[in-house]
Amino acid sequence: MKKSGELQNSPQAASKKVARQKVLLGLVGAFVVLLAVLPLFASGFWMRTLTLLFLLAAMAEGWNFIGGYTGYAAFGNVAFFGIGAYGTALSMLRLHFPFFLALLVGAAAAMLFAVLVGLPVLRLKGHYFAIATVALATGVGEVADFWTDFTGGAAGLTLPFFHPIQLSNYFFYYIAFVLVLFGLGLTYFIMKRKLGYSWLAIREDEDAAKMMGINTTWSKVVAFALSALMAGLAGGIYAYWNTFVLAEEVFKIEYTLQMILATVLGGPGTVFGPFIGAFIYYILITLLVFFLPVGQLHATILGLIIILVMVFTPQGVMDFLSGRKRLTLSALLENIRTHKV
Amino acid sequence: MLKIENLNAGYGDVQVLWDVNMEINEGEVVALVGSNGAGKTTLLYTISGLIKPKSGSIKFLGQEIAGLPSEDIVNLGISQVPQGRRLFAGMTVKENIMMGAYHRNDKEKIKEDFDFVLELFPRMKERLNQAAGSLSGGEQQMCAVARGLMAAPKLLMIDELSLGLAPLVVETIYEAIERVIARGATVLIVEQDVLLALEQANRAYVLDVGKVILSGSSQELMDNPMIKEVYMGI
Repeated sequence: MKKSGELQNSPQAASKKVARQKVLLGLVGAFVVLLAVLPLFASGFWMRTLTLLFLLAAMAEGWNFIGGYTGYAAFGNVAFFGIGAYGTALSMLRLHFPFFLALLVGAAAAMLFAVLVGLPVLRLKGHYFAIATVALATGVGEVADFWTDFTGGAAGLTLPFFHPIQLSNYFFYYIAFVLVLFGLGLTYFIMKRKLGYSWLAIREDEDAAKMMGINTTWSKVVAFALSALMAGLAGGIYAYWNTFVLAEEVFKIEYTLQMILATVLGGPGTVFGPFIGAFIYYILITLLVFFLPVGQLHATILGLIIILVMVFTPQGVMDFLSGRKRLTLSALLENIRTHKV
Repeated sequence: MLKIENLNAGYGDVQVLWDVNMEINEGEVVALVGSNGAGKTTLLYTISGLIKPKSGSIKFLGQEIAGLPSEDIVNLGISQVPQGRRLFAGMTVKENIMMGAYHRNDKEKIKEDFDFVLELFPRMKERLNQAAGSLSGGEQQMCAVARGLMAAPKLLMIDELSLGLAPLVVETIYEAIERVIARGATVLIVEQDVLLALEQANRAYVLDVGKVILSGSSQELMDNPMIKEVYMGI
């Protein structure tokens, strides 16, 4: 039962695959170094664009835990971003915590929320789980919007500027960059361990995973909480960077869609997929806005591109980059037949 | 070792098992036979904690396990080779086999057991880095048995091993299982193929529409006219 386009299992193919992985790792490494020194040359505009991109990549890395590796289509991860943003902002304003401590409080609040809602919601599967998470995210957003005494409601929360302000761009660029690297490291670390294997087993066959003695509830809740950690940290950084937190901004469902898109474009269930996918997504949208500055035309074209990518490479570009498949027409056509995202 | 008393279980409002009684002693090979829909798989799932019983008792090594979470039951030493194999299709053969040892921490013993199952199924050795989903049916069943053995179970339950496999392949796998049995394993074999099951087992239970209608030594059952007529077509 060999699928066309899939590399064979011969030793040569295996060593070729290893060589390719080394090349890929080298490229990513070079890219990371480039990003690390980029602020020496880049303008403020590019640094701000990349900072936003890093935050998206970090959230995508988080979504990858629950959506990519564990196979639970979470459509409400923006809730963690928003809670991280509010938690950080409120800790700084009400408790006068320094930023880093406030950031941890925000992330911890997001994780706590993930555990509390995850315990009941992760019992649902498929569409039911997806809808429940959408509902949760919307609900939390509404609470933040209307609980004026606590969250400032529609007036939002205004945070102090970062000091010294000349270094602000650098500070947020690097902290977001470190968050992305932390996400990569965390993913790699977990996927070499039992926890990672338990996620894969749950994705492949949850009942069989139980038969192996996996406490599936615990594994899923940890995946959900870690995705909340990444989104919560991104939200906290975003809040301080933006110096303003508003419910309808930080609970926008578009953020959830963006992290899912980045993950799926890059390759769900792979270490580098979400990171690479975030870049692809951003490059696409930037080019489209540049060449099609007319109304919402770029969004339409982007939608079309995404549909094509989904149809032809449902496992993302990592499928080809990692050498799992060759980029051939037959492989692309085969993908249409074997859809299982 | 395992003692089931007045077990009632099912899915939601649909009751499948009715007052089932069953016993497995240490070192014994017991067969559970019955036609399609008799409740064999449901009984296994209830023993392994995937289904919560409505009432009744399941004692394993003297401890009540009815209603315990599945991971606790695996930890106590019950592992199963599920019907339809249920491998983790996207993971490699090696990863699948090692998943059987998920709950264990005795690294050296795990390595020993891994070598043993590869010796048992040499075919797996050639396929270690291949995706389990790309194996043939027979190879998948070998992989599933290997995975079940990696749990180092005190009681191994094998569900419908022969289903959909060529007789020759079934024979090969049962030969391997005989070697495991010869080492003193306690095994519960669930089969639709009654003759095949009775050949392997010391004793057997016959399940029909959720009730144990007959039990006894394999020889007794093989001589039973009803069994001959209904299940063997002789």
